Amino acid sequence: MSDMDSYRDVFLAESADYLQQIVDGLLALEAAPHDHGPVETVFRGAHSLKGMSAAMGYDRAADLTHRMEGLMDRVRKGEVPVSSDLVNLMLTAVDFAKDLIDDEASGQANLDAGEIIAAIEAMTTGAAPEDASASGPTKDSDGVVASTPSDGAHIAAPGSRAGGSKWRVKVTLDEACVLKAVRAYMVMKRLAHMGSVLETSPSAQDIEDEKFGRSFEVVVETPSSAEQIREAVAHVSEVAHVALESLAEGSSSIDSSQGGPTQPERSRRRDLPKLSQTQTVRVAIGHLDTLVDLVGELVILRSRLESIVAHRPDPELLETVDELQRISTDLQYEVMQTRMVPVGNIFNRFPRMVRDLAKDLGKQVEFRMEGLDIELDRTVLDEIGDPLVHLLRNCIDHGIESVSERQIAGKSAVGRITLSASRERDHVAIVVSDDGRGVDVEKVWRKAVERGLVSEEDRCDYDEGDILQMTCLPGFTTMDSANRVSGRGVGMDVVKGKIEHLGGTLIIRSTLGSGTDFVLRLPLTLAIVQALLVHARGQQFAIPLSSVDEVYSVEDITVDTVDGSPVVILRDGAIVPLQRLDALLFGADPCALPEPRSSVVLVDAGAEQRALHVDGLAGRQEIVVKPLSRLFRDQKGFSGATILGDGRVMLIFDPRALAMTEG
Amino acid sequence: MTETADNGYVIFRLGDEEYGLPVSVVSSIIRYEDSTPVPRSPEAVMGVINLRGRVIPVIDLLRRFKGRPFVPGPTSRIVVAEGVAGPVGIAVDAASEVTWFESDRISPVPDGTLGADTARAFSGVVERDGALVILLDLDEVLPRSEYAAPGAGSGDDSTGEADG
Repeated sequence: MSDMDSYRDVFLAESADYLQQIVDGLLALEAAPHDHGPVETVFRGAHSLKGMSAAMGYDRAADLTHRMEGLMDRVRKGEVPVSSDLVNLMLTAVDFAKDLIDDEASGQANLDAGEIIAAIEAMTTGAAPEDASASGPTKDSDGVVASTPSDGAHIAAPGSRAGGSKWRVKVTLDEACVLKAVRAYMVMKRLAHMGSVLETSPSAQDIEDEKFGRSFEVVVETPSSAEQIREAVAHVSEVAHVALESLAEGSSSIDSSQGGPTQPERSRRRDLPKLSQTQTVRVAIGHLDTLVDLVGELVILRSRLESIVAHRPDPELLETVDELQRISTDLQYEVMQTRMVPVGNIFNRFPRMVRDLAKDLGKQVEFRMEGLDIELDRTVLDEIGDPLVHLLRNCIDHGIESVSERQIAGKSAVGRITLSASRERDHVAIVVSDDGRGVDVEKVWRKAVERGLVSEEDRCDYDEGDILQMTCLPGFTTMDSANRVSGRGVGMDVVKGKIEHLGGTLIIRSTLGSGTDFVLRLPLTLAIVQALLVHARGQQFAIPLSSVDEVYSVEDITVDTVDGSPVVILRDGAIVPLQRLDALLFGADPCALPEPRSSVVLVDAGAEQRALHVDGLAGRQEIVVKPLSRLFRDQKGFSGATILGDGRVMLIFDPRALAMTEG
Repeated sequence: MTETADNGYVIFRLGDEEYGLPVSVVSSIIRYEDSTPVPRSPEAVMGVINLRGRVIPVIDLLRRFKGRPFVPGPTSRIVVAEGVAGPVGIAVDAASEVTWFESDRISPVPDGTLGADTARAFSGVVERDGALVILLDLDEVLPRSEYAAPGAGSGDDSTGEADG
């Protein structure tokens, strides 16, 4: 690989980050047109892209991003107003820049940015003259109110919630400091991590060239407190003194030009994702996968060593193995940690998608995301992007009603869609919810009867949740006509399949007229799990502890039969169907009653609880999950296999197989 | 005769027959070891073993072709091959050599002598030292899951992998 090739890979990875940063900024700007923070973000993003493109010799991308930067510079100075036209134009420009970069990186010249550049130039120059004097709202094409910042006060008054407050930081270095430029650079870098560096005195170039005495000044906009700034700067070695001056101006000027809020967006500001707050390193995914495999082998080897030690009570050996145990546990934790990625990494592309789709369908949607910093294993995260796209599309297309429909129903014109992530035990719950029309359970039921999936007289056997689950059957749709977005009945079954393939569950809750929730529960990680070991017919099986609710000795529970099928009556009176593992796996009599001294494991079989009878328990162990061969892929019952300390293979039983076999 | 991977075969003995698998699909030959049975799997699947940290299925071709179970002996081996469904092991009575056959020596399987399913698994026969060696098509040899949709064709095994 040539130098240029390896630079190109780095460039492509980084430019994707900057493009995303610009899109985030534009969407934030659209939601809060007076906010100074996003303007700065977009400007800096375009600026960085320009520099990088030029360095790579991608002249067309450099030219386009230069124009984008120029336009944002005028916006920043208040010479061009924030309008939905501006946001639309900039979004189009971002898309084009992305294509242009791909085009140039592949050494082609298929695209010509002439048209988009002309449009940017027209807005950059055209809007300026009148606007310098105008002060009223300008173009308002689709409900996003745009007003013109007409005085300096606006620019000086930053969006205090998004950008934080402004500080002038005066830094004085030690007299004996030799590497002044280096220290200054470290100070600026620290400040840049906390917020955005707006200006420096002397200029950044001069500081870099060491053209300053002992002190220099930096104006920074940050949500951090004075104490945090002081601490961060003083932490750089050879800093002798730090002085802070708050530049907060009459904050009353914020929103001063704003009339009565007609749009809920106006009062809301979108929180911008912070640029890297910690030092990070990009690592090829292959390395991480190999690391996890190696740690898996280590865990196996460790349990092997433990079983050897158990037969040779040598205190020194025992101690060493204990130590190994501790270190490998820590190592395993850390390695798994490196694979954890915040859900924000895939969520961040949704605001744009929701916005565009809502526009296409002529609907008004307010999109909110929560829990962006919740982390999931990369392999899990990679897999849920498409299902989430599908669910969001469903919400916009089917869930949210048209503006007029909403008004007739007495709802606010703007539909609300929320995507939230939260952590619960060793699972992450991701909820996609809308406040739209909800699912008509009776309609779904009628459809299911029509399709011959169920028969009318069994209606009382199904509760609302069961019926909603039917929408996940292949080919099921309640839409009378399909459109290009959804409603073809492909999708929900794929979504559910994907989630279950990952060891997760999908639950649908809906109230007719007031909205629908899709609740996805996903395991934090797939690679190493705690498992309960059980046996049946002399063979051991592992059951992931995450799906085990309770373990009983058969003597502690009451077993009865309902219609000849065994059930377990729990202490709280709940009746749970009892299934035998040996019947399920080896064809034993499913109705045989539990033998003395056998055990019953209460498991979570997808949406419902089942009691699983096993011949005995064999403890609990951390296991490394290995996939089963694709030869077994159509076979339900096992979610994978694991390798034991002695090198033998043990199968991992999938409790969801219980719910699939009726009775 | 030119010795290329194209016409090289790993020859192994199983029951009364000798079989050949193309060298290009065989990745290793290991000593026979007991496998962990997988309940509810097709009959010809003996179970799964640990091959250097990977879990791979072991196939009983005797069961597949002759309907009787494989009985391990002192010379038993597992031939590990790479098929469309990933690595698989094949339990054999003995495996020792690699032989090169020129393609014009390989004749097609005689029509009508075998069931259609078995015939598909045989890519040809070749005479060697007065006996016939049956050449196998690995992907056709593998048992299909009992739950697979009827009519799901052979080369079809790789479809649907997008979600796998």
